[in-house]
Amino acid sequence: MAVVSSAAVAAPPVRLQKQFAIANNISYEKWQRIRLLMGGPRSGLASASVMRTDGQAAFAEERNLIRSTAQGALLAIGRSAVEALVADLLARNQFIERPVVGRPAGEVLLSFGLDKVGRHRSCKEILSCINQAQPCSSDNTILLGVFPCEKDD
Amino acid sequence: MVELYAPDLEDLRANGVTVAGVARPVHLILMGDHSFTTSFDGHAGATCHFLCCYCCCLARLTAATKKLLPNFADYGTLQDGSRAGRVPCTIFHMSVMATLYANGPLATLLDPPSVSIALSYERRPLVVFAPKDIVPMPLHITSGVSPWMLSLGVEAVAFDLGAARAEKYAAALTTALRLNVGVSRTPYWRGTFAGRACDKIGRRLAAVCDVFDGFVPPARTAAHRRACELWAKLQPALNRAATFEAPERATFRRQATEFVDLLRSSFEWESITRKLHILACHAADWLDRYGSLGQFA
Repeated sequence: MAVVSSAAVAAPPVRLQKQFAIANNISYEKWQRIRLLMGGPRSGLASASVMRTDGQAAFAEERNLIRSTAQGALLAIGRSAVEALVADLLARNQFIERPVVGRPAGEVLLSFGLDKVGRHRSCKEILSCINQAQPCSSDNTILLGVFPCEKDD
Repeated sequence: MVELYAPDLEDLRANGVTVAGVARPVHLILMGDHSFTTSFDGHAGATCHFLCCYCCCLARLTAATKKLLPNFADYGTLQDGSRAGRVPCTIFHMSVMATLYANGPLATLLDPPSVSIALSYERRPLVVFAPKDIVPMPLHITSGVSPWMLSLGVEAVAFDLGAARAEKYAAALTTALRLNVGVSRTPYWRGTFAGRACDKIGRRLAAVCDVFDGFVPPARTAAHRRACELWAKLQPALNRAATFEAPERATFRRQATEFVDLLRSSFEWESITRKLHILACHAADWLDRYGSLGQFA
């Protein structure tokens, strides 16, 4: 029977751990407690300080830069986010060519739209790359900006 | 807020993206509900004469409309069902509007164009999109028509048998929706159904028909059941993120046309809404061009 060190196999990259923590709204303090509960450094989970440093590096990247205006918060350079998404899809071999009648081949199909999900009165501008499976799933779209609304509908 | 993105979107569309050193062209499309797309492209909104952004059909023929537009018959109305989309809107018209309103909206013009020229556009589009690049809102059609099918049944009972009987039908329907369909109303948007509940209602309309059958005459029952069957068949094309082959696309076109025309002919008090108009006249064109509707929902 082959024996594989479980910590080495299970340890995901720090960036992935960071994304998981953000997606699930886990604070650094809670993260540290989970890490200790799972065995500390042997768990394969990054420490809170490493996560914090990686988070700062991630937010400083051009594709993630945010600027705020009187109307709301939005991505500073939308083009970088689109290019990063397409590069990621190509790298993972998940870019799906979607030919459109009457258009040249090889185009990147982007849809610009509005989303109103969430608990607070706000609308979200989103950009979806249609050249992937489930393009309009919220995990696969680029959140361009969040703007407060006066009413829900 | 959208004006913050307009330059970025124009830049993406004009220059494409560069990935791993390779330049790729970008095809940009506009997706959203009616309120969003109309505010984006400078349209006057839901209460104007020409309320469809894909064609020049009129909302409704009133005496004022006939007086304003002597050639009203050329345009058709939403109430014509599948025969409404006679005069298509074009990107040329959108470009003309962008030029016309470059210095200010319609209200500020000294010599405003007539209704037949402006076609209910009253502001400069933030970004000019061809009508064929505006998604025919499959998500909003699904979430609009599924609950509307329930209201249609209540209205049919009220029309045939009166309000008291309709009230009893509504009570029976509420029980069936909760127990047999398994959906409940949302605590917002005036307590309507939303999201997956709409998909579920569409899939299980047979349970609604079973309740309806006990309340109305057979002739009405047959039309209602057929309408429910057609909607149940149309819904997968609207909400499945899959690519459809030519035979399936042809079937969708035929069924969408039949569905709206059946509503128009068998439920005489009902008006064809903008969502139904788009379903009957424009959704199939999008499906033929892009191969899918659900990928844009």
